[in-house]
Amino acid sequence: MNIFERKLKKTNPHEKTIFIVEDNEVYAKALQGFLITRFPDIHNIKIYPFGEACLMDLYQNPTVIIMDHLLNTKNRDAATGLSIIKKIKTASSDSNIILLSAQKEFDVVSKAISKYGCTYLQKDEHSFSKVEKLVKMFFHNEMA
Amino acid sequence: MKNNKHVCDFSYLSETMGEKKHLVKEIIDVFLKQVPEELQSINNAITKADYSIIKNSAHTMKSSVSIMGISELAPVLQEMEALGATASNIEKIKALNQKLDFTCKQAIKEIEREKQNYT
Repeated sequence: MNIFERKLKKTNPHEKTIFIVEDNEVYAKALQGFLITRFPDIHNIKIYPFGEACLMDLYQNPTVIIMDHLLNTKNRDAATGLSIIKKIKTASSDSNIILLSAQKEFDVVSKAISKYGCTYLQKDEHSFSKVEKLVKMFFHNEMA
Repeated sequence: MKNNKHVCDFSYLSETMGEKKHLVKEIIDVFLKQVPEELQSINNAITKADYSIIKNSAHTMKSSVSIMGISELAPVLQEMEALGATASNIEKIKALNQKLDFTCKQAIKEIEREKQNYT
């Protein structure tokens, strides 16, 4: 598939897409696998190791974006999740974003929630099932 | 040092992925590639006393090891991350890294054995 075909691929506006922005490949693959098992009708669950790559694909109008905050493990210059969220919200203010992070810095979490309307989830043993509930809610809201 | 206790608990991974064995295998393959790189990165950072990399790598590894149910490493990595954040006590970081390195090597052996169930 060439670049033009890829850009035109998403012709169905009701096709659901999930973006996972996560620099830890193990965690990203596990979350992707979990979502594949829970949402077998969703065929487009994409992983981005840093936020800048996700911004390039925003034209696909993802239904949900699941974003980590610290994305600089492999590339020290990679932007933080919060700065990528700011750019996403500027481009598309109604984007559904889940900040899924082990981040405990109060200012990061509070800014993501209050300024950018994100939902914050702490990475722990329950976070995948919490993501599932939120994704279902976002899908339901999209249909309404 | 001899330790016969299992360090991994694969129940979370297998319950999460259900019957999709190929997904489990993919995650295991990524883990077996990524974790030795992360250990190397921490070792290099300790040699250079690069606290920023120690903090970031420990932070990332917390998520990786949680997927494989290596719960005994959670407090080790938490402390390494905290010491990295405050750029302090390299000797304590070295001691924690020994525990990290030893446990990860044992975990890798267990995961390689577990992988046989998914091929």
